[in-house]
Amino acid sequence: MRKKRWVPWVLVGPALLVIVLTTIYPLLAALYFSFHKYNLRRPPQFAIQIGENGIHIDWSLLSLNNYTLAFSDSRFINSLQVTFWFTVISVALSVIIGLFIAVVVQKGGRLHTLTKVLLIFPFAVSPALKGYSWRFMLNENYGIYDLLIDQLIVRPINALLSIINALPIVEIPLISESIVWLGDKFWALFMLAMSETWGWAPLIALMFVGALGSIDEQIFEAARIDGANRLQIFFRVTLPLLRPVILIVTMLKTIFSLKMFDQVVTMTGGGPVRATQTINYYIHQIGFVRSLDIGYASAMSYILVVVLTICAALYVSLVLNRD
Amino acid sequence: MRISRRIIYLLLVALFVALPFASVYADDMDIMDPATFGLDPDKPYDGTHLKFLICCSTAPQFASAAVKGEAEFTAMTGISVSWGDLPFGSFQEQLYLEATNPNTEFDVVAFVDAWGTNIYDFLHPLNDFVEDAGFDWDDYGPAYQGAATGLSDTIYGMPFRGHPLLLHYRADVLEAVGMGPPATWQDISAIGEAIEASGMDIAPIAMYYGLNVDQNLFNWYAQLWGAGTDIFDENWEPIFNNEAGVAATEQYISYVRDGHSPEASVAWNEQEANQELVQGRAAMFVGWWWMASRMTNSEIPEVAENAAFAPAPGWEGGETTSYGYLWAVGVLDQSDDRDAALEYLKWLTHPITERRIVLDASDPALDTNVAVRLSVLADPEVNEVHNGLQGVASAVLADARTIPLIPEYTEIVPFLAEAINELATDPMADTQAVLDRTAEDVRFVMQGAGYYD
Repeated sequence: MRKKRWVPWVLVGPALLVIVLTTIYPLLAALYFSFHKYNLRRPPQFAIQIGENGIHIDWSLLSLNNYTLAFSDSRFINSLQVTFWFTVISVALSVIIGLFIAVVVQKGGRLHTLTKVLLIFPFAVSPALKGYSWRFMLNENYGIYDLLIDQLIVRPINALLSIINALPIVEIPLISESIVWLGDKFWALFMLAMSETWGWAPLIALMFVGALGSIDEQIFEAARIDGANRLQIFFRVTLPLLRPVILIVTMLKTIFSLKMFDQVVTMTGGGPVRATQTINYYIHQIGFVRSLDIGYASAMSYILVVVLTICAALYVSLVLNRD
Repeated sequence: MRISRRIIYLLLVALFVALPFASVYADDMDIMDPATFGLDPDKPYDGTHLKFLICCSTAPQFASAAVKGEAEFTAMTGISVSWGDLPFGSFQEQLYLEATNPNTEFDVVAFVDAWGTNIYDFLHPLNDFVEDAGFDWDDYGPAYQGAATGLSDTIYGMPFRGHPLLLHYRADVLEAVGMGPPATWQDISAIGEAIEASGMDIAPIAMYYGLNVDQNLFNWYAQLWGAGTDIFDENWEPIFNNEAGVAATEQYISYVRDGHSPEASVAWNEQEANQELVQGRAAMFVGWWWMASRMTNSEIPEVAENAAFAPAPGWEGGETTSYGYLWAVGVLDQSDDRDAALEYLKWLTHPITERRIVLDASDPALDTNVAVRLSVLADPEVNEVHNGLQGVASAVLADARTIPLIPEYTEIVPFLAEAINELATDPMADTQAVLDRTAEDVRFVMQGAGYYD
């Protein structure tokens, strides 16, 4: 029977078309814009001009100004730093808490199954809504988290510190009971990362539950026969076996953390001052809210793309070398 | 034929009872007559569909016009109008994208004063429209006129919804400490000390210093202008960091630094601060007048029963002025149905429409106190319905101002908002140093835009 070569193209054609229109074209357009002075307030002047005499290229309209501007823009540098710290905190918390949840719920039983089902819910909440909810929950008058942190963490620690301070040895200052979570640079960034962790840790936990379930029980049995205790089994057996999944999860979460935008808008507004202005938030402000400078916003986006590409390349090579 | 006296009495009673209904009927007849609004009775745009880009169309201040337009304007003209309903947070971005898009589907756009500067080139000038419609431009206060025209004489948008800043306060709390509503910002500090000294468990004032759509600048402007300075001088050099500017800023920040406003107000937005008042945890709040009904409708009886309003405070020994915030409505130049859109604007911004909207308290979802025309604000019937709120608003608007309406201002605003936020969140921050640094940033933007060439 004769093969019809066009059939595969017809089948993948619609998908290819969608990718070209929604991904390839915007990527190329943004790259093109990034070399131009293009502000929405004024009619754009692009290098490629289509006139009555055909296509003409005016090279004088192309420049690297937007790229050089970025490296002298203290706000862009600030957004790089904020994004870096946000990524470090949110990835670390998501993976560690996710692993902890997975170990707790991995065993069978009806309650554990229900817990696993419920775990997906925080991830299903829209990021913008997550930001609003966290802002509400951190409110010092009626926020549930503020109350829990105060009752379960701050007060017990302060009670302990009071006992220590009663001894004539050392005077340790008590923790303030009225921390304005979103009014403090460190805590605002930390809570932004927590809001992300709240959504991601359960999903990561489900991934770990799957990975844990695939480990042969005989390996644990052998470790126990060799006299290993639970902690030794976890650190010497379980964690090394989970390493590939941990690496994949870390990479996935890093990519998503670098893209942080929604919660910044709805939870912190980038503040206090500029403490939570991530790269994507800053690019959005420059491109669509403040300056309407699409050229500069595109250039910053491409700098982010380059940074991400370098990180990903380093990361993948590190993973491959270790394996 | 003789008519018995009883029948005459009955007829008289019936006539008396029917009179109000007859008046309503006559009113209805008028509002359904195109001539009342200067609309073309021949329905030349019959079947045209307009798209109106606006935010928050379910908010009472907007919703009533949408509902009435559907029932009345469409019946008179055959033009149907669909209102876009975007959340406030994403509206600015959408407005810019649609206004600058030559193929946009939108015909009519609503815009906030400062945002308008970025789309002036894409809006149809309305000077001829105002003249043709027979509208009295002086029926709008100076702040609204300025916000609708920018720095030129061109009218880019018709004032649609506008907001003066009012002091919302608890009459019982102020009475308890033997003080009346503060006339100056300095008085607020004095009242704050009195409330704290009384031992009452209530914050004297709820301020909002958080970074949220630049809301932390609203009251700062009032103090800056009141102290006799401004954002720029006549040469567009930043002057908010001069001696008066520093004094105004220190006064503005003093409420949280001195403990008169809760510590958490460093992160609050306008809504959160207002909630403190509505939920009975604060005695004063300075904010837009459309929020007044939140206090009067509070579920806490002490709050609702003691809700009181006064003009926003002025500056001791200086000016009493505040920011008049305007939502204008304009027609996009690239609209295919521009004439139909202008016909809609005629109805939408007509004084009769505005008056009817603000008088309609029949449905809580449509109940609003917001009007922009001085004639409507001075209307005794309107004031009776809203307990004189429009009179207070009128007094504020007489001295209200607008912000610098240049396209670069949207770039400058974040610098100012961040400076205020920094001073509020960092008690050790030096006001002069922070404002000087901010002035340098502002100057950099202005220089880049060619203001000093």
